[in-house]
Amino acid sequence: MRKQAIEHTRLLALSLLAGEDMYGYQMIVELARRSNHTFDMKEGTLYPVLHGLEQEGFVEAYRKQAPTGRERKYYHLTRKGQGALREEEAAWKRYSGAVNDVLRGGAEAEPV
Amino acid sequence: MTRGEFLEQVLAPLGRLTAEERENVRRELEEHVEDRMEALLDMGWDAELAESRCLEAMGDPAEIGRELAKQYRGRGWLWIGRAAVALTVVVCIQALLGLGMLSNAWTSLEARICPSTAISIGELKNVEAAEALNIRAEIGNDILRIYQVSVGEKDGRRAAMVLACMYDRRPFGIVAAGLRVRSDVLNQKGEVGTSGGSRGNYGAEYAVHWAPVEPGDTHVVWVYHGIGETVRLEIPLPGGEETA
Repeated sequence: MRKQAIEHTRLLALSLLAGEDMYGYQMIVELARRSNHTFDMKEGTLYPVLHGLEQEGFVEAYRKQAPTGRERKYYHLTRKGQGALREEEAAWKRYSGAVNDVLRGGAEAEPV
Repeated sequence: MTRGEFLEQVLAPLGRLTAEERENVRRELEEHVEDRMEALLDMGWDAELAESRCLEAMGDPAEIGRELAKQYRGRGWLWIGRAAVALTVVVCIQALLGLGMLSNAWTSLEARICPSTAISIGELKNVEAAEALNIRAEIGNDILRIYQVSVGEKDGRRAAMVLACMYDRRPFGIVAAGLRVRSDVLNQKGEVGTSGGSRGNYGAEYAVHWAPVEPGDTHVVWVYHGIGETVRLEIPLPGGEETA
């Protein structure tokens, strides 16, 4: 389950960075906003995921002044990261599609 | 738990990282807590409560540290791999140097591209003329190359000095030994001259020969006594045509 949670966080992090470069706290806030607070993850667990993506060359980090006026570490999705996002997105769609198929099948079977 | 204790626990398993990387991790997490704190303080939270709430929201510091450490785990092997490649290269170069293979190959390469003329220094006095040549003959697997002829004075007599080298056709091949002793240089009367210095290794050999020449002579002949074959190469003397 833990591994799966990390995989999901990777996908979410990659897709957040597909829109714009962000720093960690900004990503957490944006994730909560977009998911209507469904993803209530421990905030610190985002960083191992981001550092892993950086080690793999999927994201690059740089420091820049945030709108708050303070300097923050921003993450940028690389071309390699864009490829990884497409693959992980496709895998997720296959997985969620299969889950939906099972659920639909269960619902249809219920009245019988 | 204070912010400092939290960060200490995160950093504890990150010994593999450089000091700079550890500082970057510490700074990034501290900045996150700072941003979260600010949001809570803006909402009117008490500072102490806000920090405690922030650290709680971050999660277990030991687990964050362990997960971060995993992301850098492959690097130990990366460095070991790089060190192994570097060591192998050094060992190979050492081995080649130890066997003399590199210097053989170098001498062979030098002989076929720009053979050394240092071998003749100081031997010929009152040089009248010198000419670079490129006369080559195939002898078995080797190439005999006559690359310079000069006319001057040696031991009180007018003489022609001829420089030659020999190398295997292949750059790493081994040349037949004894270029100097297998060679003679004859003048037009058939007189055999003297041989001088020689040097070389398995890659190439150099030899220098002299033959007495008269003012009217146009050439000398380099004779190489190979195994089962004798090769004769006529070497035109510099300025020989004018004096002929």
